[in-house]
Amino acid sequence: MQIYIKLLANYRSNLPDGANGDQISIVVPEGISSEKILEMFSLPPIPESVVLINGRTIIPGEPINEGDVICAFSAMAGG
Amino acid sequence: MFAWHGKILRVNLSSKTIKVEMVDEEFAAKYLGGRGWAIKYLLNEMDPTTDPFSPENMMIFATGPLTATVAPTGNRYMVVTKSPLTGALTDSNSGGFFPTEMKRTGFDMFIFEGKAETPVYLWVNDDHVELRPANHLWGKIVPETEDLLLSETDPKARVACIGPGGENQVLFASIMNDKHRAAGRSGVGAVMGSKNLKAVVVRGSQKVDVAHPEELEAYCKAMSKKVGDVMKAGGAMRVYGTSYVPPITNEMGILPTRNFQSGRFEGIAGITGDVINEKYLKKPKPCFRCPIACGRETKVDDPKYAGEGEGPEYETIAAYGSGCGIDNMAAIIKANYLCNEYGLDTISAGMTIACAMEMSEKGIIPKDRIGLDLKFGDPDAIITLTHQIANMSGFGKELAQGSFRLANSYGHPELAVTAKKQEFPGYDPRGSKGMGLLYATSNKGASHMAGDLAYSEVFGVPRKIDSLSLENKPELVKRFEDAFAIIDSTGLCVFLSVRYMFEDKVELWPTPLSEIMRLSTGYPFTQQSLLDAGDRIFNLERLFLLKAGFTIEDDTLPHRMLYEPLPEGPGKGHVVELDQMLPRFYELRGWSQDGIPTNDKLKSLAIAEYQLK
Repeated sequence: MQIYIKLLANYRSNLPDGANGDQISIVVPEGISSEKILEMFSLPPIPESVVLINGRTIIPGEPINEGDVICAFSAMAGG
Repeated sequence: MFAWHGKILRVNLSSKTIKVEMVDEEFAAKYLGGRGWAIKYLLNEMDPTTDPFSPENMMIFATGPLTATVAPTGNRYMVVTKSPLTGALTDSNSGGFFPTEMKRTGFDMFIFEGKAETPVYLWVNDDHVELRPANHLWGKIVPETEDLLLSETDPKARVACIGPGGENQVLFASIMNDKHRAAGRSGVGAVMGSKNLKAVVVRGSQKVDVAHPEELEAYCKAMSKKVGDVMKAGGAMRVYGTSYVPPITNEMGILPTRNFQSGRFEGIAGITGDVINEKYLKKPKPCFRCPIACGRETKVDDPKYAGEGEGPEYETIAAYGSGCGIDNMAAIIKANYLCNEYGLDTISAGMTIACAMEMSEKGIIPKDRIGLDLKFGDPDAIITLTHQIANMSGFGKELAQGSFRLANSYGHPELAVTAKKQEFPGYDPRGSKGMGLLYATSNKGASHMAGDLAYSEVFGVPRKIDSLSLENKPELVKRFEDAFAIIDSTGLCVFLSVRYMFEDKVELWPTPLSEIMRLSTGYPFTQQSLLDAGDRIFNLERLFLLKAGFTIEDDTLPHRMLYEPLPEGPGKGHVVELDQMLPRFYELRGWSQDGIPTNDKLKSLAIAEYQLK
């Protein structure tokens, strides 16, 4: 299924070259977890990373569906 | 005493008398310092119903025990007074280098009373204290004022001053220090202007002695290194400063957009930290003893908006940017520079202009009254109107009263997005419900710095919580309010304290902070005694508000937040269900359901002398 990945602030640099701003679309298997997505982009797990699904706080184990926007940024912003 | 000097400078501007007073360790520890000491003096010595612009209003500059010590980010002071914008108490915080130098003069606190007959400035050089004429400085903008003052006092001195904004008593005028740092909110600059006090200049050589210097240094060095390592690894606050925030709040649908008509801004690509870094950033800038360096030295070359200075912060980008429907970062930065030069609060200035934009577009304020066809998205308008506000010229005279009075004067109170008459900061509470409860219950009106649980609702510190849920929000708001009262009283910066001075629990348990306070002061602080002190300080402030005439009717939110659902984004359809959170909040606070601290509560906080008969 196709989903959208937004990586914000200092996480932007983990997007592949040629990404449009801070967002890309990717095709992933059904049932993929947010943890797996963070791994795919070499990002630290929750709670070091904050993950939103369609702008809301993701609930652990919450299913990700076709067309969802998964956004991640660092909780370790430093201040 | 250690960390505290135990010495206060009292300046009566009417009689031009200067006195030195001492405080004992019991007082020092019970009220911590900074914000805590200041409210005790205000509550004991002034009538809270006093007109904020009268000579009877006291204005206090208060450092904390950790200011000017080895504690990382021990560089802050508070300006505490009665606000002309809200009519409530205000405590406005600033960093940079002035507070550290002030503490080095050997005084913890400056109290200003009365009003000078003609403009003056205070020059404090260790024990040498002098009120000097400032007529030659009156009318000058902040950078020019500071340069002149340094040339006639000491080139290594530090300056806190007002610009034309404060001189003209714009209700949201700020006090600027080190040219670009602001005690921004609630019109503290206007109070200073009403006293004809143009500036405070300090130069000090007094070392701040601490109780356990080797242990404290080791503890603080380890903490600084930990933070520094995060920064070197690309921590967002070093890379972007607070400008990393707009895409996050926009994604969550809580970025103030067009006077809070929405929480998502279609022009977001123009107002991110990446835009600043690519085009305008010179370098990051730290305050004294800070391993984060969130400050931004910036420059705009575009001749239309040319300038140089520091900032903008997230709040400025939200207020002057998305809040006004503007995605032109050069214009936003220019507006920021103007606010710093004139001494204006960027949040209230930007959001008041945003309110005027909505009223203009709706035909409520006629074009000829404003002097231009004011619409959202006009970058030149924010420049023109900022000049007018500071100089009290044209339509700026009306804007200078803030959005609450502006909207009410045109018969549309529902268009002002304020709490206790102060403009909202950059988090729409319809999508961040805890922030709604915070804005409604803060003792200084809508302020994220009264207890910024956006740390949890947005940024995941200590951990991410559901911003749309009401669950546990009264508990969290109380805890964050008390924690911020502590931080503001110690002299530390919130940006380091929230993440590193509290243990990683949702309860914000101040283990590292109590250790640093113990090692600095030698006083046997515990986590609980610190939290009790925060609660005590918050209750004293509440008492000030009650005596000033505030009631539970004022613990509320504007019409837009209570009755107009967010139109889009994850919070679509949401309002703030304040009535479902307030009763539990009052209960947790130990207050009656009329919002009044009970006598038992005051006794439990060892402030029974304030019990209501």
